[in-house]
Amino acid sequence: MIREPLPWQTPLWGGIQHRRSKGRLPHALLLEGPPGVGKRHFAEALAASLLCRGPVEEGVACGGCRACHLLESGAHGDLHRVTLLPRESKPEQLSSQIKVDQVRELCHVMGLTAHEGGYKVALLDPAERMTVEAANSLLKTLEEPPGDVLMMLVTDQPGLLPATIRSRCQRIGFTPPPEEEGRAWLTRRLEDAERAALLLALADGAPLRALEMAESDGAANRLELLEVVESLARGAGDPVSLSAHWYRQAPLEAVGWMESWLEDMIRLHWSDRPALLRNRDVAERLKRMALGYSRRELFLLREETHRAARLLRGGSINAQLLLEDLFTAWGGEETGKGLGGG
Amino acid sequence: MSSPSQLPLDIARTPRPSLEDFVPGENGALLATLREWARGTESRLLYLWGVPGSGKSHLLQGACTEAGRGGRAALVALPLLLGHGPGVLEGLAGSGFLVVDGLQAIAGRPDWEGALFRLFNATRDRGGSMLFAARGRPAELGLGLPDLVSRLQWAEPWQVRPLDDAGRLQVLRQQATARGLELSEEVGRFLLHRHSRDLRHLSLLLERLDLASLAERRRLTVPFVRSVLAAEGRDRFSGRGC
Amino acid sequence: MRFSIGRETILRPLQMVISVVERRQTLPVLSNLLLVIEGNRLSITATDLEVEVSVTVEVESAEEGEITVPARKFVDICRALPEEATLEATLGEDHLKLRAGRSRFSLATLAAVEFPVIEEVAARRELALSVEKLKELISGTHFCMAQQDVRYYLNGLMLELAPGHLRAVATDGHRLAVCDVEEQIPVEGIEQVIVPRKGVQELLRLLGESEGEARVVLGQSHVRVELPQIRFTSKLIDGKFPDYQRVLPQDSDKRLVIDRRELTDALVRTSILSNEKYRGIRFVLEPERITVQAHNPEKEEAEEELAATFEGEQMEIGFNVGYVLDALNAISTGEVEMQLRDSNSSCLIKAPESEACRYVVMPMRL
Repeated sequence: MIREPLPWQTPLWGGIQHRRSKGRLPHALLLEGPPGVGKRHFAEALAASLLCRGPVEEGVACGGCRACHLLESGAHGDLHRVTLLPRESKPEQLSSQIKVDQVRELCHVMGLTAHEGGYKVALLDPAERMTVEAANSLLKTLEEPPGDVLMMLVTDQPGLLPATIRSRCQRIGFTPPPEEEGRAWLTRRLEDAERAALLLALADGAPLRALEMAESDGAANRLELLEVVESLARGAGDPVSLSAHWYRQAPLEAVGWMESWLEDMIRLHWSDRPALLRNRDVAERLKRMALGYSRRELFLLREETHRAARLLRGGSINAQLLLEDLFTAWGGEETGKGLGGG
Repeated sequence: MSSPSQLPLDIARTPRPSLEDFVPGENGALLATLREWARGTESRLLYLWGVPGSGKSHLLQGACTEAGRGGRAALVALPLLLGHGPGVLEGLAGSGFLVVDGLQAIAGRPDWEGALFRLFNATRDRGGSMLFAARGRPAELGLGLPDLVSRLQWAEPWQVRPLDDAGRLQVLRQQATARGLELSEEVGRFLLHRHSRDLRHLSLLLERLDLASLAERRRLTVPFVRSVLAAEGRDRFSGRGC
Repeated sequence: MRFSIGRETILRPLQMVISVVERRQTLPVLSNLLLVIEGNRLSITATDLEVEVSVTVEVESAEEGEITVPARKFVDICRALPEEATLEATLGEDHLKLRAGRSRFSLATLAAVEFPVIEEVAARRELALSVEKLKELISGTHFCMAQQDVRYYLNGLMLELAPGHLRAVATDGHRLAVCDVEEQIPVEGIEQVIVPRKGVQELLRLLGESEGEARVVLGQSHVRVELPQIRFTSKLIDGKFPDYQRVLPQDSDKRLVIDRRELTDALVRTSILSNEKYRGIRFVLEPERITVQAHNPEKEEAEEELAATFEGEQMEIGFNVGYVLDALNAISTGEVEMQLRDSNSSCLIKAPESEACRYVVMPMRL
């Protein structure tokens, strides 16, 4: 169970707890910011804090009371989570949207009295995936929830939420912590300062995202994908079969890496020692690849990758076709002809 | 032949206007003044004027409720009382707060004008606070009793400025919520654009939509609202509507 | 923890709690039953976080303890045992071991602390009345509750405590039911709570299996009903019920008294040819007789005449036949009384000379 906020969230946490002590906690919070900076973590800690029967210092949940035990086992009757559910047709995949029925069910339970007699807490995550209908049926409860209620909407992309939803929430913006702070935190977890620094750079400074990369095959996948792209840039490799493979991995992650490489490649095209470089570990390889394209081609490619990422995050898109287009673009007529050896 | 239609039970909740739920728009200073007035720290006279549907009655009812928490407050809606004769104004002078709505309704009726004039003086003699509202400034109402006009001119004049569309939309949504309805932004805009922008008409329309939604067990969607409005149009045409 | 119990003895309480356990549960522990042994009593509890039902039975060779086990599997095992079998349960390391005759089962468990049981309801009000009366109150009103209305406070049954009565009210916006039982209730003024639909239906089922006395406890956010061996708890709807008093018709000037059975049968027959969607039926009311008529888009028609006492001017009025039949079925007297005004005003249906249960039905324009 998550009880404490992350170290760099202490000021935000203090602010919220102060408002709570004054009885001025809003009904609805919109927790927004890039992935991996700790929005969900914060929301979980705040939920625990509100439901705990004897919070300790700074309102942190005690971890020992009945409410905390129930939270720990995931069976607290007043914490209501709304998230992407497994698809009915393909249970191994998550649905790309939060459906209206899920939100109606939430509104129903929020309309009832609290199970434990205290706060009712709702966690909607990722909030931007609500369908239009779902968002509409949330409005009323968001505006005038009965009883002591905190509804937390978590999103990486607040721009995709309807204005009516955003305007009914108090917004809390999350940003990556200062570099040293994030690195120190990550180093403690990975016990490897160098690796921490690299992953943090790859993750745009978002510590939790960096940690996730370290814990998943993310980092290994990244190098594998880099090889694929290198071969495409040389004019080798078949975009169709490659996209079929990578679509099954993590398409959004893959596109994210491509975006970050392309940004570094553009920097490397301009200067030998750019001040800012994310993919330091593969700088040489990126540089070599970059020189095979014109600057214009690199910008076009980045543009296309950027568009793909946006579409993918939006959810309702055929990821495989999208990847296929991207892979084709890396080796395509319009853009790179590959390196001299190709 | 039209299809059968179930009539609803009138259990819809009518929201009671209050100062809290008044959407101020450009009337922020007026709202603050009314709060001050309702606190009753000093005897004070206010005169509100503005076009129909700008929120005068809402403000008066809200101010009266708020004043009533601290003292005796009476609300006199003149247009509703005309049938009863001016005698109904007698005995109201004892209220610490006197609220009079729709002054224009008694213009040109000497008996009413005289009764109101006496009520004004009696309330003032006892140190009561007063709040008036009308469609125009005192001199523009067509009152026949010059003394009444000059008395009303003693009061601080405040113009109630109508809300813009965003404000109207907010009011509409607020009222829907108070009725336990869901009104999406889309439906709200539809009502504003297809119907009237007069808030009073909009509130009445919302009440009819509330009942229609009870009768038909439908949510307020654009197609449903459109069908209700269309049916009302037909009823009016055939003389069946209200 | 250990206990021993006969198959038939445990089946009945299991069947009472099992309907609360939803099939589609997101929290694993909610698919489980909480078993608690205290003294020589076993209590079995199920919850879906909205409604909680707990039933107590006596067991033998009891050793105290508590645990949760998968509800459906446990019930299926008990049901499948041969009749008259004796079930012996012993809690092992992380399994509940069951033995009956030559059968052995070992059920996975989750700790009892993980089970979100409602311990205290912080009683504000309490009253005791007979199960019979409580059942009449609820069965006489529950069918008028709304289903999934956006006005969430209609999706439940309102219980009102006043100094002279306990009252239940339900409405779906087309019709309304009010039933009273006279009780001396220790309250000043009037207190209202709304029990959600699901809880009402569950409670009605439990009342059907009980007799004796019921204790009703109103808490801050729960209502609890204690029946012999059964404890029912439900959350409340966090909202205010509409002012139902103002829709009870006051100015009806026409009164119809008719044999309830005859009217019911006539309506059932006539409604066969009513519009399937709207189920409209026309009542033509005249002194000494009434006529009920139905027709449908296929131009089929049905009509039936009945003898009745009707006081007032002749009139016609349409109703959704389902609403009238529901009210007629909820009344038990031989005759019923209908009070009316005109074809646009609500109709009051009740037993003659009794105000205990009143039904208000809005007409339909046909």
